[in-house]
Amino acid sequence: MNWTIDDLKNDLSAHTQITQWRIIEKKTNRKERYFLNDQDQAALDQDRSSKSSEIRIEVFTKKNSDKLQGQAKLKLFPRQPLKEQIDHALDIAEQVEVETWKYPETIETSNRQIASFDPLIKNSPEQVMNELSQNITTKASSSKKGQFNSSELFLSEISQDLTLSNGLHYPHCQTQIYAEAAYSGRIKQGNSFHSDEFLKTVWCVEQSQLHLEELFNEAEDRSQAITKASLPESGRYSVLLHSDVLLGIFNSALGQLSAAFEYQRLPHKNKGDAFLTQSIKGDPINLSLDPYRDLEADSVLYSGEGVLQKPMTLIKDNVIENKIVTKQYGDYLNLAPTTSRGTLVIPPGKASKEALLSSNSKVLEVIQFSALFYNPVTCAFSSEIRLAKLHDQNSGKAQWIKGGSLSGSLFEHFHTVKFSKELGTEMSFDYFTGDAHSGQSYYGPRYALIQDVPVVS
Amino acid sequence: MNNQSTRAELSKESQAILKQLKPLLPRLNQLEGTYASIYYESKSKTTDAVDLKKSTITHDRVQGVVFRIYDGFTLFEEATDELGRDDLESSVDQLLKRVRSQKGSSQTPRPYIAPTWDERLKVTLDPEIRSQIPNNPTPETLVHFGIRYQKNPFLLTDAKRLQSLKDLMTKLNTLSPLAGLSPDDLTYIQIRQLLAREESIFIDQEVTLSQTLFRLFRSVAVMSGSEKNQALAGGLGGSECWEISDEELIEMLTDLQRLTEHEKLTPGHYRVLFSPSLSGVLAHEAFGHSQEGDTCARGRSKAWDLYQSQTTVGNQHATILNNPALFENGDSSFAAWGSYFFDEEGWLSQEQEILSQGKLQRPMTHLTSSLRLNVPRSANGKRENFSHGVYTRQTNTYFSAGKSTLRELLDQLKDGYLATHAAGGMEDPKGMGIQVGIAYLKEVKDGQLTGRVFKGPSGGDIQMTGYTPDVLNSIIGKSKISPHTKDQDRAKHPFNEVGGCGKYHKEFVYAGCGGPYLLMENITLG
Repeated sequence: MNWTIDDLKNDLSAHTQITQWRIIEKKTNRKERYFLNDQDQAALDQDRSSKSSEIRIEVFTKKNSDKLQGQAKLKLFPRQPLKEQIDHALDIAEQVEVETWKYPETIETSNRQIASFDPLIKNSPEQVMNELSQNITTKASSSKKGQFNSSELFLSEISQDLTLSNGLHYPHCQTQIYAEAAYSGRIKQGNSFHSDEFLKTVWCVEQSQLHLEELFNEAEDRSQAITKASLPESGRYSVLLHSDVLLGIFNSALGQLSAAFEYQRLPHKNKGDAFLTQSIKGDPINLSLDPYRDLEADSVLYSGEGVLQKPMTLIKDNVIENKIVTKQYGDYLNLAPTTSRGTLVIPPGKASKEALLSSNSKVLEVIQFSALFYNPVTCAFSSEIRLAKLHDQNSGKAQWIKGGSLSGSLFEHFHTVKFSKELGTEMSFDYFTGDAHSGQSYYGPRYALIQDVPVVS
Repeated sequence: MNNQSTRAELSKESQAILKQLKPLLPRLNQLEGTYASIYYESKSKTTDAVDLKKSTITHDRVQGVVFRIYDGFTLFEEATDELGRDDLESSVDQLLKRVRSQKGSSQTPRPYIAPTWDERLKVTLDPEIRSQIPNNPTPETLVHFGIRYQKNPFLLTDAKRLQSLKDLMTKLNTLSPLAGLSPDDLTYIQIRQLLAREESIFIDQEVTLSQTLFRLFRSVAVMSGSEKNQALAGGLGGSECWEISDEELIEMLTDLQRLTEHEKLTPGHYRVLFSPSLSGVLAHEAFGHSQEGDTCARGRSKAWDLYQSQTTVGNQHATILNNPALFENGDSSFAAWGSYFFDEEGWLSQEQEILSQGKLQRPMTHLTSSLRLNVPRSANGKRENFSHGVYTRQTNTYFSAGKSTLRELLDQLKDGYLATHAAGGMEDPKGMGIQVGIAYLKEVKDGQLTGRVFKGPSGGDIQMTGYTPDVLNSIIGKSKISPHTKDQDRAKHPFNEVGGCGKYHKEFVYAGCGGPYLLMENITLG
């Protein structure tokens, strides 16, 4: 390295043109193993180890008008001269214009400790990888009903140091686990065999949250069920959604509550507005953000803008109580910054899953969508059904369903929602960006029942 | 090919890194019965963006090395972005240690011997590839492939690039009245462009390869209230890849205006005409993913069984190709989005038919899937970036062209819908289901567009679903490569649009998808 982080801080601070700056240092260590079935055993197809580190800066510069500032984001390379790279940032900032905003002038402090990583994965990733791999090979070779196809196991440790020109230094470490299991099922149909598969994936932060046995058992059981599935009849259904879908639906709706949408003139809700405009016929909508929940995908103390995060209610009894205001958009709209990160929390409902299923003559329980696409502006969602179970109260029987598409909307279908009293957690990471702070977490009802949802096959 | 075009050269930095990497190969090769290789990549990109409130420029770069050893059972990789001599040597040591510590396997070994240049040159290669390989290359010969470009995009200053986006913003306001919109109706506009220089090096005991690609992409997104539409352009080449015509902008704005008055589709079965972007997604999700060799090797694709049994899975229109060697894209002189000269495991690109008139052909592969399936290798070894694992991935996937014009297909459609904007999709290789997302549908009555547009039953995207062989048997017409004229097609391959692809739900890579207009009947839309 030709220069140090202290050199970088000093140089950025010394520049009269630079009004504020941010430095993010990130180091990632990842171990990956890919298993597949070879002669009824889990063979190791790939074994990877990956290390990467990066330094990113964001600088803001003066313009002729106080209302505008220059801005540049770029990755720095320690082996290249520092001055050259900072000059490059200044050149970029010279060309662009963004409305002026500032990091907090004073840093709000907290003694709160938040657990965000698994010490064993951080300190002995090879040992954890070997132990979990052994569990996978044992489990894969003991298939009884379905055929084990493949599995992937990724362990990551991501350390990130955030430093702002206002004096904030916030180190953060997160571990991430990704595991998947795919099983095939096969049944005889006439003179031939019909086969299908079920893929089950899970993201978590700590080993205690990873239940490999359950993951493999569920994939194997579902691989049997999916071979028995048939197309749904077209029509409107009462639909029971699982918590992984609730994570996606409610997270995609957060934009509606954000100052960013308001500033960009996108459809949004304001403080005091009803979240759902139709009269509530189900459970009231209550929603909050909790960045302090331990070992979640977004367990953090500070936002990237240096705002101290605290638990915050967003919606209480269907009324917007607080909006998500980052420092940038707060400055633009003259609003105080609020919490913008954390786990999405919904309180439990009163009914059990069993009671929800028996509340309608027929309920379509969606086990897995093929790919549920959410529109954050309209809050509509739609997908093919990969596997569902149609519960018929009259006959007391259930039928496995696969295929057809379901389309719904948070604003159209959730005024009748009934949440389960059983609670669950879900998390996912935006693997595409690999950003340590790109995780989404949900803690709330494991199931939700909505009505009158169109399905076509 | 345009005579005024130039080829991209390998940067001095990459040449210097090659010198550092080359001596490390003998160390990797020291384990008996193994196959070693080295892959290096550097992807620098600049993203310019303007919206109604601000302008931004962001620079990013991914640079790293992957050391690889395949021992006949497992592919071991050590990836790092620490490029100092000691760091690289340390990575090699760690990889060797890991391979040596591997316990013996009870599985059947599948050893690999790297092909020589003589063996590599026995196959038919696209002239764009063949012409860049010198005579009698040896393992020590650096064979460099450079993308052709006409207008060098790297000569444009930050200010000039940004100004071109601001000019486009002004143009949108000028054109909006032609679409029945006032500038105030455009509540949100974002114009983005990407300019990337992508370099890679591949070394094994038989070859030393490098390539330099210029990747350009531009998107124009407009909103009116909660309705959104967009226009895209992109490819590999020079600034010519960025061009979006006024006609395309007016069509985007006109559709946006109509979307503000959209109706909701009644779920059901319809005749539908897919534009190239939608037919590409269909090809990609139908027998693109299921023909990925690693998915077959994992026992996760029905296509492998159907290929071996030669079961028919579509009608005479159902011919799908995967082609990383698309160096002319439809009538455009630049290369298609998913193209390259060699994949990330050093295999030279070739066109491959993966479905021929409803009959499955051999799958696409990468190194280990080719060995596990015992089928020839193809140039489909790709990864999100150096820090991710390599999988069999698609490049440019498309249906073969037909003979009809668009006008003839609209007449044949008579009453139904035209789908022009894709909204994602999902594969189901084992279950043979399919999901193709459609942003909106344009109504067609008696072969004419009525001006009515439809969104999904709940106001979101429309999903086309079905059983893949049923869908491929429902194709009743395909357009020419140049669909607006009856003249004989001059282009060799259908146009492929810019796109991206995840494998199931992760591992994002660039992928082109396109093809002809595709007319289908009795399609499930909801």
